[in-house]
Amino acid sequence: MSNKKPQRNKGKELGLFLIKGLIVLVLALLPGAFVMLKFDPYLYLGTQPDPRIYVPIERYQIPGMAKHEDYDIAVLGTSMIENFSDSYLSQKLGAKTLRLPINASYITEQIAVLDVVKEYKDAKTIIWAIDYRTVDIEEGAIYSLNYTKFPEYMYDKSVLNDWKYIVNHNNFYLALKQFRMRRTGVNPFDYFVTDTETLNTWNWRSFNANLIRQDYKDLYTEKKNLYDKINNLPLDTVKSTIDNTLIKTIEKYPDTQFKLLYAPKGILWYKLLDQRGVLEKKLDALTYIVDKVSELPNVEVYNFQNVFELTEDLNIYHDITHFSNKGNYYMADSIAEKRHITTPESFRKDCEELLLRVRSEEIDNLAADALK
Amino acid sequence: MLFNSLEFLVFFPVVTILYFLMPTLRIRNILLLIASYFFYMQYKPEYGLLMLFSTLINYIAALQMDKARDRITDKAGNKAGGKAVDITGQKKLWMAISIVGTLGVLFFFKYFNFFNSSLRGVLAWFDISYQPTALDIILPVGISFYTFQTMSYSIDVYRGDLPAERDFIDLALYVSFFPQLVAGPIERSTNLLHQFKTYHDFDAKRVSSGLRLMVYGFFKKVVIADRLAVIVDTVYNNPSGYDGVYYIIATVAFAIQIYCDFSGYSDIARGSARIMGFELMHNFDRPYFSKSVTEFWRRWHISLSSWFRDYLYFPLGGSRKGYFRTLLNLFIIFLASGLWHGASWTFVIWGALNGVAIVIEKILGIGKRAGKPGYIEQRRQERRNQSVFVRFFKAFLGIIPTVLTFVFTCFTWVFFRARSVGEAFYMLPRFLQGFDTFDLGKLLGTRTILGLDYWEFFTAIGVVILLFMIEALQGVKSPAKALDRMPTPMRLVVYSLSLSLVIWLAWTETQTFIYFAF
Repeated sequence: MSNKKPQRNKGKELGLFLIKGLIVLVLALLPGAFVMLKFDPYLYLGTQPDPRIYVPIERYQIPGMAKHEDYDIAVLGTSMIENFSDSYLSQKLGAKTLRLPINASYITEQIAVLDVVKEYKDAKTIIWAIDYRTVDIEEGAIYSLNYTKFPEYMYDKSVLNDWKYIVNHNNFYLALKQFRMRRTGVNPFDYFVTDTETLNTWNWRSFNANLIRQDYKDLYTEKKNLYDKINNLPLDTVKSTIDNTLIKTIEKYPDTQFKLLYAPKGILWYKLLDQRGVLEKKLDALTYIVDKVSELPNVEVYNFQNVFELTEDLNIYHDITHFSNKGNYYMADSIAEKRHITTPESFRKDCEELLLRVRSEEIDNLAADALK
Repeated sequence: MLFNSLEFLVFFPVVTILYFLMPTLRIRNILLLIASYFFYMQYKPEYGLLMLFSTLINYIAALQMDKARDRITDKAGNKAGGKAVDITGQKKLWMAISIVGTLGVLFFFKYFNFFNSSLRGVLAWFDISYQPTALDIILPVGISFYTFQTMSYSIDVYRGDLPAERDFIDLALYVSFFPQLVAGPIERSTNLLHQFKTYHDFDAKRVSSGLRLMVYGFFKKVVIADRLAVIVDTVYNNPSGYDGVYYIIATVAFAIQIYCDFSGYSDIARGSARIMGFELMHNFDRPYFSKSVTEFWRRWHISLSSWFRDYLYFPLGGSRKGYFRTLLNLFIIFLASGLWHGASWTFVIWGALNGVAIVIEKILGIGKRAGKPGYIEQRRQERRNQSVFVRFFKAFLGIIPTVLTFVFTCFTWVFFRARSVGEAFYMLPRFLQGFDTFDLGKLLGTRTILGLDYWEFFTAIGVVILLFMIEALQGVKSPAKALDRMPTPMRLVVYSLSLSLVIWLAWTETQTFIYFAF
């Protein structure tokens, strides 16, 4: 008989441990992953059952829509395009149109959306609202919101990081909520949206002259910070960003028709920028874009900054920049009728006209009134 | 690197696998040292130099103290060694160098600005103008933890409780061991140092136990603490927007948040160390079940409380220098504990309040038994031997002091969490206001409740109840032992469910650990 203690078989012990560990991990992941794959709350995987349910969190919802919705024309931009009516645009332009807005986004995020559009749907027409703040960035900058970060993994081509979508508590809860809504028909707090036509629109908000006046006053008196809205980088930096982002992207898709829009923001916005010495730089940056794209055959630029019947109708504004869908219908009609297309020459004239108007006595009085 | 980050989920398995693959103890320790410095320097590379400086000072000082001890002879001319009288004064000198060097770094980085601004305030009372330049420095993560751990080593060597460590790698590893580096437990050289001299084999049972502890720690941190943080921040970052019931909800939430945050870190630290074969000290023992403030401090941040007891309370004379001196010593260690937590008057007041409570309890004889070593374990044993009826009856009666202790603790947390002393005093009277206008239906009937989505809010309540049940169970029997006795398939199902809870309920926004700032 041996007195030796029986030696543990280390290899076997490790093997058994790993097998048990794997079983535990698979069992822990399986039920939640099943829910996610089955209900796909942001439509990212394309497995969401019909009827579709949408979440009004654009940064997460838009890539899934860009991939799996049916459309021929995509509309890109910030909150300026949120109040477009998809059906109205479709009717006017004769092709199925889908808005893919990301509020407060920079051009970096918008190009990420465009790349998804081109990879999955190859839409041949892109309507793209370009704000000055969209390009007033260092190249590659992403706008950070406190409550929603930009999920880059949902926009890239890699499938290796898709687990971040699947193994994600927030998405898991959304899937469960949507499952509950499908079962009971109850839309909790009317949070979810079932029709892309109304998704992310905000035309239900108030629009009147007092709101834009108050916003102008708050910004003028620095109760609100103008530089939360724009970065005001040097013009050379902005031009370099334009070259390396917007222009390069348009050149990358030569078979696509781009319709760039300069939206009609409130006249008091232009006044404020002029008072801060930013307006001329902004117009220079926009002129630079017009100059650059004039060399490209697949681009039209629509300038609505000089549509004074809109910009000076203070009753269509919610704040200093955000207009009601009256502005969007106007732009939709103009695109369909090819009105307000600008060229380097006409845009320079428009800029001069805008500066004159902004510096006119009438607008001075309007601004002074707002400060009372 | 945060425990609750993807980086750590890659870092830890890689280090552990490499650790077990290394053939010799020496190579393993070098690997752990490199890994620990890598872990620490992720926060800011320069921090590593500070820690190295602190290690070097204490390494040299301890060796010199050891040497001095050998040279010392007693009055009879015999070689004394051990705890003999320090005739040459060398030991004291090196001890002083060690303390000044180690505490100096801590003072400079943590207290310099606070000291200056406080001094300016005091001098202003006497109309003396003092305008010191505030240093633009960032507090190195975990500096208070490794400073105290390093100091305990030197003091132990000074006292002759431990020979000086001659192997620099082992000492550096003791100071920087990554599982407990940035938020404790504050280990003792007598407990941890010798463990680096033992070769730990892979042991499936031990690794399982470590993983279990880690999962429980993650549950506390990412499922409970991070979720409650939203409620707490919503109210405490905007105190003028709330009152009464909201303050109470936020303060209770903070009490649970800070417990889950800190004890969760400790569990992850202990679990990850255990996987590699190291046993770290128990840092929390269900503190909110305490029946007195004295008992609370026996159960809360045990490694810090015992540090202050051994290295401050006893040297001050402990209870050996009379009744009033005992009370004063008790008060002093709680004041110091407050200051240890942060260079701010909010922490000083928090420490002082606890000190006053402990002193009052001492005078009234409350928590007397709790002060005795082994009391908590003794109480647990007593409970196990009692019948269910007696246990239930005693538990029912025991609720009153437990609730009172919890209420007092919450009161002190107001100072701990408030952004300033002014805000704390602004909030305190308003705790009793707004009850008449409070509408529970309105609070619970909105999509976002105190910053949390309504599902998240009810999840928070659910997981807190689950935590309470687990902790209550821990008082009666050891869940770990119960798990070990289960048939393997059932145990695997329990593990899967636990892991599932952590994976699918983990708060997605990564939050740093509160105690990193201390």
